[in-house]
Amino acid sequence: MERKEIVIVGAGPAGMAAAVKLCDMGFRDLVIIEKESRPGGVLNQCIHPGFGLVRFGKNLTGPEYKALYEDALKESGAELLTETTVMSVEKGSGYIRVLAQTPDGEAEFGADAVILASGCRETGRGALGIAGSRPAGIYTAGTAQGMMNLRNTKVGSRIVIIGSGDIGLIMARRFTLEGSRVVCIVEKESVCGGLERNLKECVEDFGIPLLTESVVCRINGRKRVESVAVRNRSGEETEYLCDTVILSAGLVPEDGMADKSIEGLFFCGNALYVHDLVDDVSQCGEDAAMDTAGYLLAKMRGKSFESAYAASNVETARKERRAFLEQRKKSRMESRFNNTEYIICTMCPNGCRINAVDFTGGKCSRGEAYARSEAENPKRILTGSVRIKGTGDIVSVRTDRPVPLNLFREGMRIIGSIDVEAPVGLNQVLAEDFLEKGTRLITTSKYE
Amino acid sequence: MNDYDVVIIGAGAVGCAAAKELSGYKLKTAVIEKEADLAFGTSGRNSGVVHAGFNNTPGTLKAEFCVKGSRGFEKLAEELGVPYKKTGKLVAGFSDKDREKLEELKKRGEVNGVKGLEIIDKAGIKAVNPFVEGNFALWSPETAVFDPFLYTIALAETAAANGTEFFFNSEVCEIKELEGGGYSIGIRKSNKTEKSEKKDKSEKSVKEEKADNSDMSGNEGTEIKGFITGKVVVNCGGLYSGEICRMAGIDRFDIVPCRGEYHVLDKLASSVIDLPVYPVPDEEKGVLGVHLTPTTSGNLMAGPSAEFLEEKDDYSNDENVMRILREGADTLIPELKKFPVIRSFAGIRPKLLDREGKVSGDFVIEESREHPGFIYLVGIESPGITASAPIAGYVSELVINALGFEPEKKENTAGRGEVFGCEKTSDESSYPGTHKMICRCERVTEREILRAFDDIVRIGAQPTVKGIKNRTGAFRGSCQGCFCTIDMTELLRKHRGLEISELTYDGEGSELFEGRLK
Repeated sequence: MERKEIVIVGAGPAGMAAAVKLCDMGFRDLVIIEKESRPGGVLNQCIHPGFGLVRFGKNLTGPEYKALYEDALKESGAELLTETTVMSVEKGSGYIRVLAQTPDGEAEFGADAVILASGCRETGRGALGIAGSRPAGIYTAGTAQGMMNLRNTKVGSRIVIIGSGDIGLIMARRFTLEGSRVVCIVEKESVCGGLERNLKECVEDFGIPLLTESVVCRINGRKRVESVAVRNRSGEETEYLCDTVILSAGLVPEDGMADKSIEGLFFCGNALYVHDLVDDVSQCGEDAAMDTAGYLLAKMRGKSFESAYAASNVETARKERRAFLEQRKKSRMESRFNNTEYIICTMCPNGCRINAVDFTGGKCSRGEAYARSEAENPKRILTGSVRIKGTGDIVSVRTDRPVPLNLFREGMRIIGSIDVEAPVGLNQVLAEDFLEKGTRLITTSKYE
Repeated sequence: MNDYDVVIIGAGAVGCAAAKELSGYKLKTAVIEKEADLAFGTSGRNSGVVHAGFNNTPGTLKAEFCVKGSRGFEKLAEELGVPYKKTGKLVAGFSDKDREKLEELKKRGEVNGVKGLEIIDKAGIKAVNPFVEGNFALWSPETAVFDPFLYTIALAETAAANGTEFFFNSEVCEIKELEGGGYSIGIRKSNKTEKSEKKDKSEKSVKEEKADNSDMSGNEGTEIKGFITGKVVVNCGGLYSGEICRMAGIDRFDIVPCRGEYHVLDKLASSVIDLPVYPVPDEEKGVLGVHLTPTTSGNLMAGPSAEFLEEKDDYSNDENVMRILREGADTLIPELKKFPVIRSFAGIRPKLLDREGKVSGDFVIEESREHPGFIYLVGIESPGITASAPIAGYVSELVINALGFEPEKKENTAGRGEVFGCEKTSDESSYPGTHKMICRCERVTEREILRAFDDIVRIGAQPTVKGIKNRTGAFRGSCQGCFCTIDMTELLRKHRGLEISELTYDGEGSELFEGRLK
């Protein structure tokens, strides 16, 4: 058994932020355990923009956001153990026992405190209770995202997305950009489940049909998906031909490996509850790190320490989160009936509704400028991935500034024609004057 | 080369048990299967219960073979290395009528030779499992659960280790009686196994014949791709055993498909129910009713329903049935409400209809009188797997009788592990995979997945996600593959050269992905 002061489970955005924070505070005897071969968690496959607006005031892609923390993590000197999966977190005698599986076999750690930053998992078809057959071609949005963006895989040609969660919306855009047809997104509620920003930039920008108050009641196809039956509010069924079904109807904290009654166990990020923004996940990691430090210091002095992130308080935090989401849904449903034409500002995640006629309604000055440009010539950052010569692998790319939405198709054509030589550095320029004068196409991750 | 002493049609549990039994003799035996791998039909779609034998009418083959099979199962499972757990079983009742029925079952079981049956009261039930409701119950201590996938696979692998040849993706489409005895079997082959055969480097002996080949001139325009001959043919075709009989000229068996749907509940549910719990069976339908069964890997299944179908391959789940199953489980054990379903699936019972069109009560296992050397097993449904070893023993007698000579017994037979899977006999250097966890839910490592892949290739089957799932449990857990799909495709590409477009769920047509994006 390897004895540590602190074990952090997961090197995604929450775990990395927690580790960096603890090192900043002078805690050195810690290890961060990651199941993948590199840190970053789901950020590695999130090649779309929208990360870092709150924390860094920049519009970054997932891999770029990760790179900032990866650098900080390296500098901090925190020990990182990759390709190691934590199987259980249990009570030991006088310490917390963490059992893990490394490439060489089982490993055991003992810790005074454990931070669970293990993220969340997607709700599968079984839990959604969708009837019909069980052919190939049914994936959760995250699986499809990983296969496309990390494994250079074409998942399908005609896609139906079940649920309008953020990953599903983001995948709707990705599929469309990569040449697949998104037949429709089917949402059982009366409003979109994802952020306003994603509804606009992933769905409305591309004219993808969002069927609300509808459910997929049957999946058809013996070997591969052939169609789905969608039932609307009035009970009418319509069949949509498709070869792929993507599930984006819920995320649940991944905490099954941990015994919640353990003292000294803290939850953060999506393992605590599912956040909308990675910026908030990082913040949550830092906050949990602060409390972990507080707990360890109090323990040294023989005192008790109360924390909102402690395992014993997890259910309270989740309940509050559910109440918040309920409230948000309610306010969205109300605003649905407010018929004024508006433009949703996507400069930050607030998603202010700017009046489309007089450009008022923003919480800050960026709203007006954005709405004016949006009304004339909407621009977005375009992301994608390019081949690495002779490998079958790909590396993610983006434009270094927003480009006109109406040039996206041409942009994807050019991106598809590029072969880049390895190695590739972060933010390496692949093309100058891309689509417009002065715009560059840059990589958003490294490839060695 | 493609002439066999015995050809077994169907690589389900019964076909594989017969193959294992016959592999103890110096006989050339082949097993042909239309699916891509073992246990893809009814054998892989059931409750996984070793029945004690109190549901079957005394004097029937079902009763005889079930009790015999149940008694020998533990030893056989141990020999084969198959997960088995003697949990006992409760059949819970509420009304006086239920009580009468349970008394009858008990009596029936005792006539059949089932040991230890007891009618217990409410307190007795609570002592067995506090969450089970009922005023009284039939307690059967001999009932067990096992892994039906690994059971079928282990039988086949033992047979293969002893020289039995397996042909997958090979659908029987013609059976001709040969002059002077024996049968020629026409096979429609999908092209996918050829690749794995090539990889295996073992020369498989199904003759690949083109349609213009002179042998085939009479069959121009048909899809027959190859022939094999057998002195004796054993029809273990399950759902399709009626059709196969018809090909051989026996036109009296109608198998009607009766679908049973299941829910698989999250693993945590088995902390509540750790043994099979059944309601009092509905004899009119000939089914056991919606029950709860823990699997050997710790999940809990609720089901099956019973619904007669038109088609024999409609494994889909019906919306209403799914709701009824869920409600049924929650009513039976209210404590289960809090556990989510992780997957729903369906199996199909091959129900044999008698001449009046009623569901017949028994297995039919015999050699055809009109067509000597053609042995058929029809109506093999529950308790078919429990009974599979005694059935195989009986089939082996029929085969020897039909052969007309006493084949020599092999002096030594190999154990399954000497050829397949087993760690100690595998060359470690050929397993570049590590102990890295690929499937967190069911705890399956890289190396275990590569071993499963290699076992699939070794027996001549087509590597598929379902085959790997059946052998390792990966994808069967609560995430249902949403975490491990990405890692597993990469693992198989890197170490076994399986391109992303070649990976299928359960054979040709079920390709997981279209190919490379760029």
